[in-house]
Amino acid sequence: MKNLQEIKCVVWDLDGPLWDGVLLEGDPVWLRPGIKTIIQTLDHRGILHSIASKNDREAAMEKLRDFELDEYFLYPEINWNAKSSSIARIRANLNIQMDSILFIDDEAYERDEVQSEHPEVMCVDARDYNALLVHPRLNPRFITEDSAKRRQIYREQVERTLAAEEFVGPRNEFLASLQMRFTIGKAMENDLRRAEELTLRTNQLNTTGRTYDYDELKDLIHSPRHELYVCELQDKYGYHGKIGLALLEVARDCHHLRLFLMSCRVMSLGVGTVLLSYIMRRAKQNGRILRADFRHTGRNRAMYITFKMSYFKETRSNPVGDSVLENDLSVIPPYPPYLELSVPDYIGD
Amino acid sequence: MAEVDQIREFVKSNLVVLDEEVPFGDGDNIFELGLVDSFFAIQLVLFIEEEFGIDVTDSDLDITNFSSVKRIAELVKRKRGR
Repeated sequence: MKNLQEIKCVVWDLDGPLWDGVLLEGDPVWLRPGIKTIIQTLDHRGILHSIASKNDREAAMEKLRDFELDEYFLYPEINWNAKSSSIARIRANLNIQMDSILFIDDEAYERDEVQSEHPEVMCVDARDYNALLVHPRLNPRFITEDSAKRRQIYREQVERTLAAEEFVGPRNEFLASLQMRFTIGKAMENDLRRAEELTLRTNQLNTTGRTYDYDELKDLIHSPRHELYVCELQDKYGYHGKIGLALLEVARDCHHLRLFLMSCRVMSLGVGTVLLSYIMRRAKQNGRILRADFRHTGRNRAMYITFKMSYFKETRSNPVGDSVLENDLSVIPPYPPYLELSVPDYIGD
Repeated sequence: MAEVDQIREFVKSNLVVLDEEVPFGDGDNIFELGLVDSFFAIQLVLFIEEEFGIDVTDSDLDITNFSSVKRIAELVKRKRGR
């Protein structure tokens, strides 16, 4: 249990787990007792919901609207495909890892099918739905402002994804059309809960995977040897939230990045190196070299690629996969042209 | 299509500059010129691994192997043992 991820999304079958009765057989369907409360409570905890149901999409969505539940489900997969492929699509759409998905279905063969294709998915029998609210993996350590709004943030992302699919033109124009505004600032106390959450939840775009708790972060923002940066992103579809963190240890000769992470939900928006570029400029302006800790966690290859492609080189490593990367700052990636950038002390290009 | 042509097409379809048509040569440094972004770098590695059936190792991941279409094609050729 210690190493298992918190559940980020519950994927529901409809006939059986969500409601009693089979919709397409013309049964009157009734929500199972307490279901609405369970869905709303999990939603408030920042846990997302989706659907993998073999059903008629129109009929199912209409029934969900009747129950006033439709708004809770993101990227519903209501079709006649294997549920394992529905879950794969949901995972890709939400850009989360398979081991943060819980699948609930009343049919053993459906659960078995999903489990055999996706061994990391947690499969639950619909019979046990009342135990969901007390399951440790469905009780996140903290509920921050950002987590209670998580569904809204993802819903805005659905709109962005649709816009991207419908957009006719090159990717650069699409990114410009988003009117992104990227803000970098020194972390304050009211950022720390979200910062802590980011260290716990961000796996792919994370240099070390080391987690920091509120108290550690509070000490760091008051430490004269450290600088903690947080970045926020918004665009015309809404506010993405605080989506990146950089912990810098400043010494006389060197700036050392102890932690660098970006929420993978913004990975495809090409903003991964904006914060890194800022850190590089600061180091150069202060005449320091820049080093960064890196630990291969098995999930963070994308971050390794990002650093290596930003001119970082490996200087030393140990057998367990910890290394120190170094950048001589001779080449600093330019800021992307398609966003408006706000930084604490602006350093020109 | 030759490897270098496939790579050039992939890069062209993923540019992030705002100008209408940005011609770039196979020898131009696409990162320094700001033509591509960090997400592209990740996509590029995955593309060449899938498309050409190679394994990009940590030591292959050096910007000098990816800075231009020509360099990327050379890396692919090397990995394919040609």
